[in-house]
Amino acid sequence: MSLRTRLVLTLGATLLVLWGLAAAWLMRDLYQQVEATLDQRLAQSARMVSGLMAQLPVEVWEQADRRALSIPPIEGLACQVHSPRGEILARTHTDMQEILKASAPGHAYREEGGVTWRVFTYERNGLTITTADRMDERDLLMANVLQVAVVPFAVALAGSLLALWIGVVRGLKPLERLRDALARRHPDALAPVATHGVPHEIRPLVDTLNALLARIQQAIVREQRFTNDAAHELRTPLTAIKTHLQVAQRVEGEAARRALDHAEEGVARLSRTLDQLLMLARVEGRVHFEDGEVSRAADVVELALRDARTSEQARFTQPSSLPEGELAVPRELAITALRNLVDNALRHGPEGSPVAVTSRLDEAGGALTFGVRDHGPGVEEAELEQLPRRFWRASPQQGSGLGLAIVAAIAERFGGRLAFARPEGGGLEARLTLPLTTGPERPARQESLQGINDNDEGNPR
Amino acid sequence: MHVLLIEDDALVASGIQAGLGVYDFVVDTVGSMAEARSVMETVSSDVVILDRGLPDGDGMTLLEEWRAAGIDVPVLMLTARDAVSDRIEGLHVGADDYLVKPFDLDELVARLQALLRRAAGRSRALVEHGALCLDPVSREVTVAGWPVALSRRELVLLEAFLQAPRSVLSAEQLKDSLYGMNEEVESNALNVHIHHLRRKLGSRVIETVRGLGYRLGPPEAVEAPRRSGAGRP
Repeated sequence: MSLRTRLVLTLGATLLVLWGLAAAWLMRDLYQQVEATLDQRLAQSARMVSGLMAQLPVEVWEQADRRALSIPPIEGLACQVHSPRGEILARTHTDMQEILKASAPGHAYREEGGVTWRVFTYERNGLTITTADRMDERDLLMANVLQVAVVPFAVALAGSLLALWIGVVRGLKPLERLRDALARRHPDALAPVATHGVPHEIRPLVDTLNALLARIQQAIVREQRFTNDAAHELRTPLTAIKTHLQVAQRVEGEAARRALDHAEEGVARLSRTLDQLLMLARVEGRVHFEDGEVSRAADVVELALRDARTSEQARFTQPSSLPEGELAVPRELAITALRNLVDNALRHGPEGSPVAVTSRLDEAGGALTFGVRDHGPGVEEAELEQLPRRFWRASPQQGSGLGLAIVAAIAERFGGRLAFARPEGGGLEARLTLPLTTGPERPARQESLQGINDNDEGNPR
Repeated sequence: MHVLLIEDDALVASGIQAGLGVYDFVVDTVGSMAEARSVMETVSSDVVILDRGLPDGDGMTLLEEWRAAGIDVPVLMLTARDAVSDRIEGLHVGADDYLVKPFDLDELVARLQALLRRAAGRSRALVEHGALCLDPVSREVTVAGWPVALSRRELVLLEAFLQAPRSVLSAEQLKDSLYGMNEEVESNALNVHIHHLRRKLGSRVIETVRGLGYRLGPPEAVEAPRRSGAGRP
């Protein structure tokens, strides 16, 4: 239901109910008031007659005994005077014996011939006076009063409802303008929504929307750059392969063999880049990595160094002691992360220079930081931030440009951290902090991790 | 024809160099803008192949620099970016053509030939000079319909003369057309090739301009080779 409909319905219904209740209340009071007033008038007439009768000489009564005084009748109002003996001394109507007969003093309703009368009986000085009002006269009066009261009431109610409608429509205008402005936008437009003339209640909403748009814009720019970079990284080896294959078709002998070798080199490079891209996509996506292998820190270091791209294991200096704890990172990924750091150090350090791998347990014992240090040219302070950027390279043609991005993605996914420092004496030190599982609680933690992952898969992101 | 290839990826560069070599192009490869600047000062190239993504910046800035300095050598841009906006930008800055990686070797050659043809003010693919006709693609030379057998170097040298029919070409320029920067050149090699061309196409087909260099002779100087027993094709 639209906001406008809801507002109009709620307020309109409330108005109708309140005005209706007020009207009912008013009518009840009015009815009672009219009835009381007319009753009082009826009683007043009886007393008036009684006063008049008291002033008449007694002989008149006696005469009356014989020929019952008759007063010209008024339509709707009747009166009759009884002597103490019960004889009728005077009356306005001759055909209303039953209605006007004397009874207990006070007000009463009497009916005759389908007409209801309001009767008042009054006793004074031995005379009994009854006065009567036709009820339908009273109802007519009541109807007239109501008619006079209801018309302004209804006009006021209709006016309120109209004012309500206009007020709601006008009040919601800024929202409608905002909606139209959003609807008119190009679906790809990410420019901020204009905040000019937006009421301050909606302002936070528009500001939040604009902040979101800005973030989306940044994300798109980042993705665009990544796509461009990825296109470049994939097309370059592809170009090399294609060109060398075409050369191989056009030349013979040694030159053709050399061209094929070059093409093969291009294929190897392409496949390496693809592997790295896939690894990055798997780490950044929600792919499940639990393989049931326990990732002990010591095993991770040993396997990472063994897998590193060098035959000179002597170049490594290993940490003297490693904690018994397990890393809260799947073993495959922990090894990949550390190996990428080691490969990077080997690549940038001078030929044969040592690469130092250290490890340090943090004070709380909850995380382990691996340090990998090379003795290469290092990186400018300003470029340290750039290091884990995808396809960023310190120098041309070294690696896929994805190794450190993968390490950073692994660290980020499992609550770790990747930082770089420029140690004293030159070179570059990469510091990879990975969380540790806390001994006996391990199975429980794994279950909860499983739960989180399941949830993630259940909720499309 | 001398091609300056500015490409930082060694594998791609070696592929292009080998591929263009098949079509008798003389290719010098550099991997950065800085190297390209210094080579441009010392070697006269007929055409430049410029990669956009270079380690010391965007190749586009180099092109802007050259165009601003009045260097109007034809430039073919190579790039891995295929967005239309990138191509338009490249052409606006002064590139003569644009090719997206990965490309076909034949297409690259055809585009280079087209650039050279346009630079020489020709509109036809065949290069003609009097009775002489050279097909840059099939690498065949005929005089009045008769095929003439030329060695690779002689052909390249003739191509250089035909590319600039009215200009005087210095010995240095001709050597740049014939040899890459790293090739060993014997001191009298150029004289030998010119001598062979004169012998095969007519003694006045290449004129010596004393103290300056050489120039293509007038169209009527081209003579059909004298050979016995050869019939019209």
